Amino acid sequence: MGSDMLMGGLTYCSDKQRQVRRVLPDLIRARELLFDLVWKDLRARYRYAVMGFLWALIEPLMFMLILAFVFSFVLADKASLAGGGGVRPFPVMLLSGLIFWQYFTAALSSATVSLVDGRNLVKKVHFTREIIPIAACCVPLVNLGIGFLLLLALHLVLGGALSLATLWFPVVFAIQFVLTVGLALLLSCGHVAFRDVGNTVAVGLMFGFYASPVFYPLDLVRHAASQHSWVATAYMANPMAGLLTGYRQILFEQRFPDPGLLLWPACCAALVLLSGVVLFRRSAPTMADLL
Amino acid sequence: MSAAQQPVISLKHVGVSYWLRQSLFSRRKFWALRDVSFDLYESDSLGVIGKNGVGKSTLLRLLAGVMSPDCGTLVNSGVSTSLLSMNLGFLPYLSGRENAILGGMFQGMAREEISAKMEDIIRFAELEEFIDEPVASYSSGMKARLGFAVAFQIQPDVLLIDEVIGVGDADFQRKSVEVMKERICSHDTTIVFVSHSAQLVRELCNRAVWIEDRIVQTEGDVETVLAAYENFLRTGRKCVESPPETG
Repeated sequence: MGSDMLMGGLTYCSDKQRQVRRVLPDLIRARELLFDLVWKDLRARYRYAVMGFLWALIEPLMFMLILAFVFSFVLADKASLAGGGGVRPFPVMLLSGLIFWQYFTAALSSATVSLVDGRNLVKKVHFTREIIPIAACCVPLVNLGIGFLLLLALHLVLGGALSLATLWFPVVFAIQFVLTVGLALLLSCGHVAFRDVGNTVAVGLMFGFYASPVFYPLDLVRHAASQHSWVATAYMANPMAGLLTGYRQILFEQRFPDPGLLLWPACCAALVLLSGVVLFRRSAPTMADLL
Repeated sequence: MSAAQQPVISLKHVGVSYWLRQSLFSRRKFWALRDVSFDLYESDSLGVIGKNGVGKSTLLRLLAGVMSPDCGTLVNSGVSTSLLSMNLGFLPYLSGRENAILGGMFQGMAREEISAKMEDIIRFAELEEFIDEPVASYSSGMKARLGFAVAFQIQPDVLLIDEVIGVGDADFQRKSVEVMKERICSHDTTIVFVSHSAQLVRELCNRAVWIEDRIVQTEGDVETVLAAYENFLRTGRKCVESPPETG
């Protein structure tokens, strides 16, 4: 009854909120708000920090320095393979994994709690709520961009070469971004229902840091797992393994990464995004009750 | 209002339930509103009256579209509704101006629209000196004034007001009641006003709904409803002596 009456205005009706196909038009309508939210979040973050955006450089650099110390000084014998010889300077290898992993960590840990943190808004105003976790995924893009410039600079300084193949970075990163946004949608509305999700994400990201080729190359895993093929299979089930290795192939070999590496992460990303969007739309009408 | 008119929003036997989680796997259903029916007509000014905790705020959230009813039907003829609320998640390290823009955008205004009205907002909130200072340095009264000034610039078809008239110092309270009255008297906005103060409802509204025990008790002309409500309050106190009990 009255379904045509519900079409007018940008207001409400729960059925309309649940419609998955309305996600894109809703997001397009809310784009200005999304940009504003990201921009203001960035400004608020660095406004009273004397070093401001320098922090985006300091974090990955310090991480890289300490890992370089541990692996090329303390554990120098064991780590001889890690750098893969002179072709791949160890610090560059580290940094290429670190910046993309740190983006993943920063985006997911802030997106997971974003709806709960923004409960004042969610409970009082009707808007396209997806923009809250999506904004949380966009904010650390700035740090990633700065870290990426640092990576290219270090690569050149340590004797690496750059070519047009560098342009493949955004293509691979697009997969990572879709994966991150999908997970952010899933985890943020999961966290509204079960606050355990926040803790789980923290533990999971710590686990993932060691279980992904962040501070060691994939070749080492393949080498170590050559006797046990199931270990390699299980390892590659983590979509970040293929993505991080893809970045390294672009940087060190200046070519498009093996399609076989990217296929699984791309499927994961599509699946996660789809289920994230559906779950988010499903839980949107009852979200305000749980906050 | 004439009965021949189409209602802009119509509620029929609307109920809202919350799940209260008691432990990981057991949860209890709690009805915040059980059976609420009324029609809202254009340029009505409807007062919703009842004691604390009878589901008035839930009703406003329902009308604002923030949540949806669990039973009954709610038909919106296509009007925009907006809850006049303060303290919309201010970002403390941003200035009052930046927060005003963000707050207005969250409530559905375009950036240009709210920038154009910024002078009015600043003047109304009496924050000329402080508008570019971070909100973290504001007093709670200043925040509330800014919130009210921003929210008041939003021009929805139906404005929902939740007891906000007790904002700021005596002067600001007087001023906000005055502009509110002006807007209500101009009859270009439909208003739903929630309060436990019979006096304010009488002053501002032409129709009223009295909610008690999660059910609409009386609905209709403001005087009739308020008489019933005040009678309940009086007799209620007589029966119980010490704190009145609900449910």
